[in-house]
Parts: sequence; structure tokens; C-alpha cells
Amino acid sequence: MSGDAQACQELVDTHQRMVYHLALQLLSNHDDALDLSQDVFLTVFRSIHRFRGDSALQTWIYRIVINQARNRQRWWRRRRRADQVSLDAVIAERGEFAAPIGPTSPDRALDQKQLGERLWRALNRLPFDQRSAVVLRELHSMRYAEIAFSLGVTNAAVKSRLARARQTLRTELRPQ
Amino acid sequence: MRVLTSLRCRTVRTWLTVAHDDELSVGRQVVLDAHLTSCAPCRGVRDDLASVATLIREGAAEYRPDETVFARLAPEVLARRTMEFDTRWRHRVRDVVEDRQRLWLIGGSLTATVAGALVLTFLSLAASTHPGSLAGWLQGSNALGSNANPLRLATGVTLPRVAADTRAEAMFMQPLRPLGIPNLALRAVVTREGQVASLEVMDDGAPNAALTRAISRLAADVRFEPARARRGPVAVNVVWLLERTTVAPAPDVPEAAGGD
Ligand SMILES: [Zn+2]
Repeated sequence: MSGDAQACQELVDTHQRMVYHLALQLLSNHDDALDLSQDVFLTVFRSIHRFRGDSALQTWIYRIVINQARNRQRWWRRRRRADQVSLDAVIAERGEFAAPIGPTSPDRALDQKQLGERLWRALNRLPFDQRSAVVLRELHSMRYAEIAFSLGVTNAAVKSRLARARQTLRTELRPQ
Repeated sequence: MRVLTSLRCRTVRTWLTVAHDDELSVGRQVVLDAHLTSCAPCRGVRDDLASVATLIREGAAEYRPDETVFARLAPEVLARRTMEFDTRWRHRVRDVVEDRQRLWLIGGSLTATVAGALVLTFLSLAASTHPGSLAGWLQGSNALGSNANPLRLATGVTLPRVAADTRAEAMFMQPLRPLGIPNLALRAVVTREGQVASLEVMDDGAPNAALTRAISRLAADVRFEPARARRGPVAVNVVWLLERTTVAPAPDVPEAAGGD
């Protein structure tokens, strides 16, 4: 293996879990996440000469994941509009998620699981940048400054996105 | 007093999400804590934020990746990367070939421009046999300058060089930067008059007629300082073997950055 291939391999080995998990959390689909992960690493290899070290390499890679996921999302949205099929309709048809729980549900553990599913559905319906902010904060424990860099926005924008997202998500905790 | 309390709750609630993220200033945190001890609705909001976070984490744990993904990812990325190089190279060659302004670079700046490009061998006195394989070429080229029949530099043969006045035009490789190049070989005669003749291109071990025609057309405008032996200019056979390198080319990718 050439030195360059070795370096690529190491870079993938070091960051693939983070990249794949984030892709999966943003796209909610294994195949799409794998595909996105490949695209991300190809982009990293192509543009690594532009990496100036003003952020951690990992944060820079986060930013690429976010950008590519956002682009995909835009593409999907256009396509979905063209096809006149909503994601919710697809999910309802496939029955991927149980119906929202009622207040009289007997099993506490089941309640919790169903509540979680409802919350994830709500999370997936959020505008992309709100959803990304929540995922980066809650699942990747990123600081506001890092989230701001990854999303390409200000700290204040991160704060307001998180606040709005949580406002929406909190309503999902109430029986519907 | 009621108004004051509700105002404080409103302010406090904008802080709650920041406090939840551990990003609230110490001063505000103290005020917030004091408020929470006496305000049940705000405590409820704080607990909701914690519940949302817990549920999201639990939900995320359900998305467990298939572990085999991680064994596949790196090889697949590397394979795509190699393919991409080949495709790019072909596209670049095609683009360049279609652009009459830019000329095939042969000569002194080659090695400086294309990392890993190897000027394999040359020999004096053009002997225009055209064997159909790269091996044949190399064998033919090795009649002189091979281990069996080394070309002695003592004979004072100098390499042909691109003439200064056409060098700028001949720098077509320049925009490519160090590039991943598949196995591409060029064979040509640089005549005593400093022209490129009988050029042939082998692409991945097979003669490529289209590429040969196109590059010959471009090379027609390049002038060389011919190779020189003691008696004066001589025609030489030249084989350039361009090896694959793995240095990244100048990418045409959008900035990784982007707002919303
Ligand atoms: Zn309050």
C-alpha cells in the first residue's frame, strides 16, 4: 500500500464511526448513511489541502458531513415534492413506527419506547439545521462554538435553533 | 408583581436551554438556580429538556450500525477514489485535447510537473519499429540504453528539450498539478529538426488510436531542442512512462463550508 493509501486508510479508520453515526442520525437510513460516509471521505481527501488547522480536523469533518447531508435533504425534498409523496405517508404505509401512545397505555417501558419513537419522528420533521443542532449537541456533546462552525452559523443562531427545536420536541412529551 | 414574575420566567426559560447545555455564565446560573427553587413551572421545563435529551439518546441507541459497515467503508472509499482518479484523468485529457491552446508537454518540465512521471529511457538514432505492446516498446527502446547495451553518457548525447519559445504552450500538464495517472505511455521520435514524429499512446497497456491522433495534433506545434551527439543533432526515440501517483489533483469540489 502506498503512503498515501495508508494515510487515507488511517483517516477513515479514525473517523468512520463518528461520520457514519452522524450520517445515520441525520438521514435515518443505513444505506444512505453508508453512501454519505463514502462521499464525505472522498470530499475530505479532495479538499484536505484546504484544511487550515483553524479547527480540529474532526470538527472540519463534521462540517462536511452536515453540508452533504443538507444537500441530500434538499434533493430529497425536491424529489418528494415532485413525487407528491410525503415521508410520513411512506412511514405510515410501511408501519415503521407504532401509533402514538394514549394516556392509558399500561406498560411503562413500552410507553417510554413509543415516546422515544414519537420524539424521533418529530426530530426528523424539524428543519435540517435545528435537527442538526440537536443531534450535534445531544448525541455528539459538541459545544456551541463547534456546532456553529459545523453549521456555518453564529453561536447566537445555534442557541436559537436549539431553543426552537426543543420547544417543538417538548410538545411531543405530552399525550396527544 | 405578577407581571414581574412572569417576565422573569420568560427570561429564565431562554436560559434554561443554555443551562441544559452547560453554556450559561456562572452569574446567570446562580440567578437561575435561585429562581428554580421557587418556581415549579420552570422546573417542569428544565425536566422536560432533560427528558427530551434522554429520549433522543435512547432512540439513537436503537440505530445500531451493522458492524460490517466499518470493515467495508475504507476499502470502498479507496476504490472509489482510485476510480475517480482514472475518470478525472481521462476527462482532463479529453478536455485538454479539445483545447487547441494547450499543448502536450514533453520535455524538461515534465518531471517537475507530474510527480512520479518517469522518463524511462531514450536511445539515439530513430529506429521506427512499432511493436504493438508496451513490452515491445520498451524492448525496442532498450536496444541502446538498456542494461545489456547501455548508452554511455560519455558519447555526449544530450536529451531533447522543449524549445524555450514553445515551452509555455507546452505546459498543458501544469493545470493538472501532481495527478493520479493511470498507466499511460507515450512513444515518439524527436527528429533532428526538433519535431515530434511517430507519436503513439498506450493507455493501460493497449494502443489508443484516438488519444494518439489527438496528442499528435497537439504535439505538432511543440518544438524541441533536438538531442545532440558529438556530430550534431540526432533523432531519438523517446518513451515516457507516466506512472500512477497518489498525490491529489487540484479538486473541482465545492467548498466544504456553507451556510444555510
Ligand atoms: Zn419560573
